[in-house]
Amino acid sequence: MLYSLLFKEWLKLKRYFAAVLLLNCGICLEIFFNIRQQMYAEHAEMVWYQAIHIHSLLYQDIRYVPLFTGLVLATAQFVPEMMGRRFRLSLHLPVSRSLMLFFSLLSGVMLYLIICGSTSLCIYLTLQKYFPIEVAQSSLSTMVSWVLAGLIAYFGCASVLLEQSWPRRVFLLLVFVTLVKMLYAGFGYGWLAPALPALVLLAPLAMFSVFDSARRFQDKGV
Amino acid sequence: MIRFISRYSGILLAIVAMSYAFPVGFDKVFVQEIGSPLLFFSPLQKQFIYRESLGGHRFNYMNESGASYNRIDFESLLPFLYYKNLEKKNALPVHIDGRVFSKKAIKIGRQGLGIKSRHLNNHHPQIQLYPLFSNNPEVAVIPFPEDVFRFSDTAMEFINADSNRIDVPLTERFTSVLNTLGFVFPATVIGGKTTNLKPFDEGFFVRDSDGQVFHIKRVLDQPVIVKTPIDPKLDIQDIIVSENRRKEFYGIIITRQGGLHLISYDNYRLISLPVELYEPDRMDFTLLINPLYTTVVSSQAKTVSATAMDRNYQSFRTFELERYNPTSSLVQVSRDLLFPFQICFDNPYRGQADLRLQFGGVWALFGILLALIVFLLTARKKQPLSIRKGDFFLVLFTGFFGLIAISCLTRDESF
Repeated sequence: MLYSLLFKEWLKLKRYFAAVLLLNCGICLEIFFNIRQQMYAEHAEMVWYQAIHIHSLLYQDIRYVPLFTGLVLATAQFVPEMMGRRFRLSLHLPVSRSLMLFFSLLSGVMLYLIICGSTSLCIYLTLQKYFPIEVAQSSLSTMVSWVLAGLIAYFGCASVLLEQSWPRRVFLLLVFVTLVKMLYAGFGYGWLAPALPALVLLAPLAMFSVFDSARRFQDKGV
Repeated sequence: MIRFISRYSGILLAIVAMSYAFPVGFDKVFVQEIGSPLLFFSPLQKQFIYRESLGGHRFNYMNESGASYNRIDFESLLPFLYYKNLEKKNALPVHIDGRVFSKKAIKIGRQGLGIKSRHLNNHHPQIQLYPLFSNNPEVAVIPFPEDVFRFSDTAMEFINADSNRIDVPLTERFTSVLNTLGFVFPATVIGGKTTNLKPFDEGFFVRDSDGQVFHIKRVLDQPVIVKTPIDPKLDIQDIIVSENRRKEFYGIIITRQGGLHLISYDNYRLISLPVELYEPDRMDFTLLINPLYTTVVSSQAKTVSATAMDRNYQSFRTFELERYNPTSSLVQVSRDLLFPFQICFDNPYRGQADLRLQFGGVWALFGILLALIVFLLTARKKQPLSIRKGDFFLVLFTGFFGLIAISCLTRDESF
């Protein structure tokens, strides 16, 4: 049953997964060629100076891509479920609502992390090719908050879509927009790094909030 | 159980979001932010004078005795700072205490150094890679080196930017000299100016694992390294290098205890600045030198303190100015009443996120009490006792944040 659930989610997501993966790969390539071009056009030491001491992020173009990825995956997964309230069919499956929803979210999160993991690796390898290892390492601590923002956006989108009451939907939307905005605070590399251990805790909270929306969906009447 | 966890997860998220966004929004609407006052020691009045912002383009120009001035009079009391204005008025040279100061004398007698707490070591994210400029006595400009250096556990490594590989000969050259001088790897503090926009280059001051401070320069790609006599027991937080044509000192050492020591050109002798209150973690610092006096100004959240010294760095006058707060007490009370705490990332003394809970004043307790009353009046009796208890404690600890979150997320909830 659980395998079937994952397979159902994969059927819904595969085209969107491919599309956002392609988009991520495209932007990684663009960043790679931009950096290569900059290295050829300017003195390499000046590009290093900008990256290390001016705190210019040469991979800035990827900043909002995890956010977009999370929103696309959540939309692809939950908009069809809400059309004609099809989600109620899933609630009749012989597994508990929580388990069913957990596996739905798990499939989306796994695909999201595959995309973001690949993207982060591409950026890391690009930077490692042209810069000292410290610069590549700093990109990881910088991108973690963006990936986390995308993950919160994914759970937030799922939560808002599953929500049945409009005022509560608007309230949840504002809450998640604020949380995402919080994760984009600061500038330069590693700005949010000291706060990340605490901010990571937002992800499980956001996941459980989807369970609450699903409960209210069911309470509304299946 | 899962219902309990998911219910409070949503509520907690809402509280986090509100406690982050609401106080910031409130401040944007009601709180007026103004710049820090500018404090100087006037060589004419022999006392401190200051410019205090009142918001917008309104300023108070006053001296420490309370006399106020207009801008032009204020500037005329600081001839070493505004000497170009005097030049336009053909009022140079300046005569003070029987001494005459020409434009040239003023120019060569001036030096300024501003140190923001957020720029200090460990107060901002900094990749530990630095350019060591190669001094060439026959070249006027300072060319950018094609490599950066870092201190590993065993060597001072140079990485070439063109190849992105370690420059082995250069690395060996510098490491060998450092080893000969007894440098204990790795480095614990690295201080130097990483820009070539300076009159000349004095390289880097590096503290090793034993506390010894080394002065490292590069002349025509050869190491010029001096083991300085600076006391290794100094608990150095940062070394700020400031190349200046006066060539009185290389820069300043800041200790974790708030000690400020100039590193003089006289065989690295330290000149301790007699500043009573300086905390590097929560104060900015400015050093202003003119042909007659030296002034140190340290500023923190509520006050700005200044010490005037003679040219031998002997303190003879201090002054503390309370910062003007244009926010009315009604606004401050309302803020505390509404927001018992705030989640903050920004810290004026840090160059990176400093996550902390900032609690409101005593009025926050009244705000919580008010929120509890509203909660008790609106609580629904049909809710299970455990939920009501949980909600009660949530409002008790989070005030209106909790009340709003509970109201918005659990309204019409069925049990």
